[in-house]
Amino acid sequence: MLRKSILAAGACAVAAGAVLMSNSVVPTSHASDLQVADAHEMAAVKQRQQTMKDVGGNMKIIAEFVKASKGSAAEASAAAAKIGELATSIPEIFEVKATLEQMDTVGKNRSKPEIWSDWDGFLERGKVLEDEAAKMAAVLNSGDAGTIQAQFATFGKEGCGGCHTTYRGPET
Amino acid sequence: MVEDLSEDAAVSDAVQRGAYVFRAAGCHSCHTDTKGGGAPLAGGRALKTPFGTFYSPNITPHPVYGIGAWSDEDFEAALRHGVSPDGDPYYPSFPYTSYTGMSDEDIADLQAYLFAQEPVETQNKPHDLDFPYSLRFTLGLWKTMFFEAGAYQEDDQKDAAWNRGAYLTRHLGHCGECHSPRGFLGAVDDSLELAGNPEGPDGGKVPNLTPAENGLAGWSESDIAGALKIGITPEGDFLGDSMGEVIEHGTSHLSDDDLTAIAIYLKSLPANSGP
Ligand code: HEC
Ligand code: HEC
Ligand code: HEC
Repeated sequence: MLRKSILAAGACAVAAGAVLMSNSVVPTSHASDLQVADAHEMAAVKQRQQTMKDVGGNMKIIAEFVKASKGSAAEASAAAAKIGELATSIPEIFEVKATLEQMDTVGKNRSKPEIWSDWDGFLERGKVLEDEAAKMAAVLNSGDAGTIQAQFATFGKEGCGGCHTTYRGPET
Repeated sequence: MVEDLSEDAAVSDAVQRGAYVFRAAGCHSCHTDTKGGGAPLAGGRALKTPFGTFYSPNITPHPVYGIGAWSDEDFEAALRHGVSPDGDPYYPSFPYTSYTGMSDEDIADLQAYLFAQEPVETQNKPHDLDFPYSLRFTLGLWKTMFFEAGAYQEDDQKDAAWNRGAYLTRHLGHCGECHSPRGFLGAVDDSLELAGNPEGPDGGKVPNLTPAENGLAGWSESDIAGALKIGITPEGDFLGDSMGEVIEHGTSHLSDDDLTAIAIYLKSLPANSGP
C-alpha cells in the first residue's frame, strides 16, 4: 500500500515536471472562444497585413542605408516619410476587430485582443510611430552618421518594437 | 579608513557588474508586475500555464517580504541548485535549470546588485496550481531525473568568443527556455536544442535559432546582433511579443562583443529543422 502511493506520487512528479517545463513562462489564453470571421473581417485582416508589409518594406530600405550604406540618404528619408504616412492609417485599418483568437478562420493573424480592449493605448503607439518616422526622415536628410544610427535605433525600438511587444502575438 | 574606502569601491564594482548580469539573465520581466503597476522586482507577475498560475515572488532585499535576510549560500543554492533556504525544490518556471551554469563570480555580482536595490514591502502571492502540480515535494523526483547542477565548463577546442556565446545563450540568457522544444517528459532533447518550439509559452510558435532553412540560415552574424540590439530582422520586421521584452530589458543592453558572441555560437550550431 505504502509502496503503491509512493509510486503514484512519483508518477505525479514526472507528469508535473513535464507540464511545468513545457510551459515555463508567460500568459496563454487563445483558442478559447472561437468566433467565425466573415468576409468583411477577412478583408480587414488582409488590408492591415498588407499595410504592415509596406511599412516593413520601407523599413528595409532605411535599414540597408543605415547599416550598409546601400542606396541614398534621400531615398531612405523618403521611405521614412512614407512610413509616417502609412502610420496615419492605423486607426482605420485596425477598426474592424479580428483577433488572433479567430485565426482558425482568418488564417495567419497575429493581432492580439489587447488592441481592442486597450484601443487608446494602441492608437498612442501609432502616434509614436508617426512622430518617430518624421524625426527619422529629418535626421536622414541632415544628420551625421552617429545621429542617424541613434535615431534609427529609437525609431525601431519605440516606433515598431514597442507596439509589436504589446499588441502582436506569436506566429501560429 | 583607507581600508573602508576600498571595500566600498569593491562593493560598488560588484554592483555594477551585477547590473550587467541582471540584464543578460533577464530577471526583470518575470519578477515585475508591469501590467499591474507593481514596483520593480517586487514580484506578483502572473505566469499563466494550463496547469495553473504562478505568481513570481518578491526578490527585492526586503528582510521579511523579499530575500533581504538570505545568506550568500542561500542565494547560490537557489540559482545553482533550485533549492530554497528551507530546502524545498523550486518549480522550473524559475529557470534555474539554465542559471545553474552561471559562474560563481556572476552569481555573487548579481546578488550584490539585487541587494543594492530598493526593498519593497509587497507580500508574495501563493501560486494557484491545479492538483497534483500544487504538491511541491513531488518536484524532487522530477529534479533527480532531469536536472543536473553545475557551472558552465569551457570547451577548450573552441575560442573565447564561442565559449562566451555558449555561456550567454545556454545559461544567462536562457534562450532555450523558449526556443527549444520539450520532449515527452518535459526535458529538452539535446539533439533539438534551440531548434524552435512549435508550442511556445504563448501557445504560438517560437522560431528556430539554428542555421537551418527554417531557422537563421539566411541571417549573418551582424543580422543576429542587430535583432538582439534593436529587434530588427533582415526583412525589416521588428520582433515583439515575449521576445520584445527579452530585447527591451535584456539583450539591447549588452555589449556589441557579447551580441556577436551569441551570434557566433548560434551560427556554429548544427542546422536542425526542428521537431
Ligand atoms: C500601432 C501598432 C504597430 C506599430 C507602431 C507597428 N506595427 Fe507592425 N504590426 C502590428 C500588428 C498588430 C501586426 C499583426 C497584424 C496581423 O497579423 O493581424 C503587425 C505586423 C507587422 C508585419 C508582418 C506583416 C505580415 O502579415 O506579413 C511587419 C513586417 C511589420 N508589422 C512591420 C512593422 C515595422 C517595420 C514597424 C515600424 C516601422 C511597425 N510594424 C510598426 C502593429 C504595429
Ligand atoms: C521565466 C520567469 C522567471 C525568470 C526569467 C526569473 N525568475 Fe526567479 N522565479 C520565477 C518563479 C515563477 C519563481 C517561483 C518558483 C517557485 O515558487 O518554486 C521564482 C523564484 C525566484 C527566487 C526564490 C524567491 C523566494 O522567495 O524563494 C529567487 C531568489 C529568484 N527567482 C531570483 C531570480 C533571479 C536572480 C533571476 C535572474 C537571474 C530570475 N529569478 C529570473 C520566475 C522567473
Ligand atoms: C520568453 C521567451 C523567449 C526567450 C527567453 C528568448 N526568446 Fe527569442 N523569440 C521569442 C519569440 C516569441 C520570438 C518571435 C517574436 C516575433 O516574431 O515577434 C523570438 C524571436 C527571436 C529571434 C528572431 C528569429 C526569427 O527567425 O525571426 C531571434 C534571433 C531570437 N529570438 C534570439 C533569442 C536569443 C539569442 C535569446 C536568448 C538571449 C532569446 N531569443 C530568448 C521568445 C523568446
